[in-house]
Amino acid sequence: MQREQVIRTLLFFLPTLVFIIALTAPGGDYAFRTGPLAEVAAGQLPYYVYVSNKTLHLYSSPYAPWPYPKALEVKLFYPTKVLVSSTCGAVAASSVGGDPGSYPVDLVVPPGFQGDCWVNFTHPSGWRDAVLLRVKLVDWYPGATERAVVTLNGSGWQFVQVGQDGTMYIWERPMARIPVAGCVFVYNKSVLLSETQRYREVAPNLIPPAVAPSSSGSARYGAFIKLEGVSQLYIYKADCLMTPRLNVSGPPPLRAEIGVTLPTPTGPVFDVPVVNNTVIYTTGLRVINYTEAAARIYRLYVYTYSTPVGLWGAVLRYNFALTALLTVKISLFRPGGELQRVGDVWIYRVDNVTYWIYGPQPYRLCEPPCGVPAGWQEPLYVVVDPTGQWRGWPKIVAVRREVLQPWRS
Amino acid sequence: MAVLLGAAALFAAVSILNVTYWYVNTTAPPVIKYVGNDTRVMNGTFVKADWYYDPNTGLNITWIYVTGVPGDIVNITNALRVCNNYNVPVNIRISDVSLLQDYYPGNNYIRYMAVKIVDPPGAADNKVVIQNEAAVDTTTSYVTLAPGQCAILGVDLVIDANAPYYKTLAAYQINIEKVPQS
Repeated sequence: MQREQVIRTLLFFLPTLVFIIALTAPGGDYAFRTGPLAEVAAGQLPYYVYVSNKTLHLYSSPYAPWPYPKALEVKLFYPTKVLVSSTCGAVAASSVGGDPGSYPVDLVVPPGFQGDCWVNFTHPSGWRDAVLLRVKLVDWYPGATERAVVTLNGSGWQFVQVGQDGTMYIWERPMARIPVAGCVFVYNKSVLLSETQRYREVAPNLIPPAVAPSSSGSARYGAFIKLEGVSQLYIYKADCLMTPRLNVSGPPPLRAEIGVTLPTPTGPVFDVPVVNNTVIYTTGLRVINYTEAAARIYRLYVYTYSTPVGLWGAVLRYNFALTALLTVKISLFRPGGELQRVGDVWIYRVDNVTYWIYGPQPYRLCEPPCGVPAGWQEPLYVVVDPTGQWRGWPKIVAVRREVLQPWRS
Repeated sequence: MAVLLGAAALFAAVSILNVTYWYVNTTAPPVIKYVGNDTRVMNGTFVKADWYYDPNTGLNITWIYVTGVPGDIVNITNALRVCNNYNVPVNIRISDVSLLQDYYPGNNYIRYMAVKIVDPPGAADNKVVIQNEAAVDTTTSYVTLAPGQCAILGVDLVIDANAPYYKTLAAYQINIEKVPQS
């Protein structure tokens, strides 16, 4: 081959070769760039994670995996993928990448894990990087930043609810205000099954409001705990768990003498309520029967509810019209038996069933006659115990708020 | 039109709030009840009155005890006096008689009872009437009391001869309605 042909060939072949390489290389013209393949850095981390260089100080929980979404960020400078793995199963994805750009990496620390955990990023080209996770196991529900710690003193099964406004109810009775309202209850090292039930005002603008279960309105989160002396309940501001609905039968009918004796020209009548409408609500833990009833001089808003712990309850709220009538008997709730006053509650014992009532005197014979009540009466909160084990509402000893802090700073 | 008005209310953007404050005061009642002269007969055996405070409702409730004699007719002509306490005329009437408590259900021991406005006279219907324990005339007409004037109420009673002695047979609610005149 002549010298000119060689030169001509090289002048044609070499640019063509470069052009072909540029077209066919996976990274296109990136094939001719220099520099690192990728960079790994901390991503969007909650305030309670301390970061030092490429070391993250994380928490793990005994209750559930602790997610740290977008905790790491991989910046790719080449159109390729890097492989991701961890020594503790904290990374679900096996690789990240594609086009050059930033890619978040979610971390999920397995429940109960404690110690060091490496997250390794590798590439077949030999590039590698790693992030160290230093994990501390903490008795805290994952993802929550704060919790209410409620110290209770009591015994037996208690049904605890927390309203979105922070009101804490026990067996529907408002007992305290807590600083953190949430749906996750932890008691005795266990996450409790919980329910969500909405309540609405049955009449507008009342102070305090008269509320009843409803399909709309403000939510309350509820759970059952079994108290034995002084113990602590933790309430976390976290999303509700998806728990299976328990198989609970409906509440038994509210068999009780309810009404007021009224005078009429022809003789006294017992003004009993007549049911207007009834609605059944089924939560994850209870079946609630809400009823509105009307009598001559009052309206009654009542709901009864069954539970999976052998007890059941009721709440009765009366709204009396203002009348000039006298009466000799006011029976707001009388299932039978003798009414007793024990502490701040009223008790009926009928056969082997004990009715615990908190609220106004549920039964009164007036001798001499007394006036019929007027207006909204305080609610009657009833807990019915066929088991003989319940000992009344617990005492709330203390309430405090705790905020999760970084475990190293 | 109603729909249009409703729509206008929905889209109203201006509201004006007038602030008021309300004092709640008290005054003396328009009438004052006094026991009648017949309460002095046999130390109040046939009629006596008292009052008590009902703490649950805050009401003052007046009791009037009237006593009949089984088998006889008893006329109590001055059981209660109701006096105008205001310096304007007050109309009064007896109203809303109703049986509050029957201590012997099934026995109509109270054959007849009338509570009547003895003075001032002239009311078109001056008495409420109970027959066989049920109220059959529950409200009287109004009578007007001049300032300081007292009405006198009397009671007629017929108790069945088979009624027991020294027992309370029934309790009635009988209201005295007062309407001050301007």
